[in-house]
Amino acid sequence: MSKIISVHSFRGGTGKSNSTANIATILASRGMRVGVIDTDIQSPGIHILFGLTEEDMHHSLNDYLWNKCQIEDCAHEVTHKVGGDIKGKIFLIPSSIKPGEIARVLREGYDVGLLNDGFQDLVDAMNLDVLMIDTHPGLNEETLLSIAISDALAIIMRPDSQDYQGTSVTVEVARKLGVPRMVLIVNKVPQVFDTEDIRKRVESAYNCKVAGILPHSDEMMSLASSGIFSTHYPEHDITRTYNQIADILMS
Amino acid sequence: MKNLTGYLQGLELFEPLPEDMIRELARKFTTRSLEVGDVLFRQGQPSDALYIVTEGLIRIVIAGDEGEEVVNETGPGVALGQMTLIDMEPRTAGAVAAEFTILLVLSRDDFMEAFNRLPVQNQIQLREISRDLRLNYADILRQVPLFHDLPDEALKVLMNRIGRKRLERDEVLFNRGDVGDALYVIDKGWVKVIMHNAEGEELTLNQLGPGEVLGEMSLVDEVPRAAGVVALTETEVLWLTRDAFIEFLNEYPAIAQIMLRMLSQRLRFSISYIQQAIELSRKVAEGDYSFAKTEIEKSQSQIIGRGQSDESRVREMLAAFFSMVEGVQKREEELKAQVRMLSIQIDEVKRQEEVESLTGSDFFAELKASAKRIREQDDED
Ligand SMILES: Nc1ncnc2c1ncn2[C@@H]1O[C@H](COP(=O)(O)OP(=O)(O)OP(=O)(O)O)[C@@H](O)[C@H]1O
Ligand SMILES: [Mg+2]
Repeated sequence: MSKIISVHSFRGGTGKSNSTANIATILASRGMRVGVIDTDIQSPGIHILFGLTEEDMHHSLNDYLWNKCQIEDCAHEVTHKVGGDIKGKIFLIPSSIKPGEIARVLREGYDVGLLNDGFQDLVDAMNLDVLMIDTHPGLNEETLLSIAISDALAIIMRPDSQDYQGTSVTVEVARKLGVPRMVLIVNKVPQVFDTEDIRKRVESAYNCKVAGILPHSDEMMSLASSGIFSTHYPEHDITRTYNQIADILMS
Repeated sequence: MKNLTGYLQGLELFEPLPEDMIRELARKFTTRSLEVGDVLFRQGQPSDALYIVTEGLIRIVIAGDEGEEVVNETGPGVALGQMTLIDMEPRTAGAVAAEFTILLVLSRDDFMEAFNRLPVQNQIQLREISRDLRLNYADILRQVPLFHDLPDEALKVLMNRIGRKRLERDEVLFNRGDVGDALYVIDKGWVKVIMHNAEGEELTLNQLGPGEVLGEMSLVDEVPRAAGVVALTETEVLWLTRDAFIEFLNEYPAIAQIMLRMLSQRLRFSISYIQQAIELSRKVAEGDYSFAKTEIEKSQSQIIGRGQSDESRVREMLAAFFSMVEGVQKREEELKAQVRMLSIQIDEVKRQEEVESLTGSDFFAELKASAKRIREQDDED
């Protein structure tokens, strides 16, 4: 049975896109057909990690929301772009990066219900095992919708006071929406911290499982979203942690 | 020797000679080579030449109880026998080649031939210089507090037993654990007394300058060197072997008293060091690290060599302590950051309010209902 996984954070810049892209790549390398959809219409970003340029984008999620095409027309196969040995397939549904189209969607809005239909249609049309949703930070309607229809939700936070309050609201709201599986990922942890201690404290503060703790990494910084970490550093501890997170989300 | 004339002009003894005479003398030099162990001259022999080492190493030796004792070593660029050239006193020490050595030699006859052609007043001047060269050596010894009150004859005895050694900047005089077999007196320059901590980092225990005595401890109690000594600047030290020193102590018991006085001064310095270290440790215990940074800056801006006060020397010695304190402070700040991170502050009231405002809408109720429907449908599929 297919699964929908949302990756979310209350604040921006926490590592949603990087985590989504890495987990998607790991699942595909295990032989799955994985869809990745960028619902961060206001500030799209994950296409960069998959090496997709503006010229490569024939159709975007925007076109689907404006009834210009079917959702599956927006799927771009990026399996060959991530490197490494990928047995399955990765399809990316990007949001438009044309400034005019971003402005229009912000001005006119769109039928959020269409998004829900789109997710379901995409899974069927592309015969996906997993659909991963990279979201816009905060809790707007499309994000609430993505969370609501997800089988699993990963909420990313940093060990930073800016993230504590908002994350607790997100966890509570998601719980009310009845998401079957919800986990926390703590990202950008300074190397001086004791991981096990963090795990204990975060789990008890949010009453929610911590699926992985990722250190702040210079390699990740210098990769600067120009590629997928786990295929660049297959033996790295961070890659191992992404694998564990993938296991937990799929279980 | 690239420019022998220039070199000779720099020697005290040649100072009053007219330039053309120096040039003439330079041409009279012959070369001589020595194999290892060859004797250049013996102690007690009349002086008959001036030697300038151009290559190799000459050992200056004096007769002791148990054969010959090395009192000094002389490498390229050093002139031997200046002070005996004119007055022909017997050599006060012998000289033996320690390596294959090449020397430039000016015979006394050649020198005296030129000397005799000089106007009388220049001859007198030269004789005075020659005498001064001898006295000079004695004067240096006099400046050393340890030898200050010695009678002339004792000083003369000492002069014949003492050697001179030049150290480049950063050159090691001796290491911790070396056999303590000599006493050193600093003539020119500054040295630091050092130890290494468990991490192998160097700790400066003290700095010593002109007139100060080094290594007297191991002369007395015969244990290996308790600390190492490294030159901070170009340094010249006079040195006296352990055996010569002990013998000298027997002959002149007054020295023993002076030594006692010096040791008690050292002790007082150590006590002041310990007192300051305790005072600063107390500050660290109270969490006050503020002094470390300013002290480190102070000690870095300090120029060594100008007669330092005891206080500034203590500060120098404590420099390693200050940087340890900085390390402690840094670690503590990192720990603090950790504690801050681990106390996750959540405003419960605000959280409830925000959750309610988000979940209170019709949109949310619909969403929740349809999400439930979809899931149930999926389960049926
Ligand atoms: N563990 C990490 N160590 C170091 N840098 C990281 C780490 N994780 C992410 N980053 C960096 O942080 C930045 C933000 O990451 P990313 O784009 O994945 O976050 P995001 O949550 O998707 O951001 P946005 O909200 O803007 O979409 C990127 O430059 C990324 O390289
Ligand atoms: Mg993003």
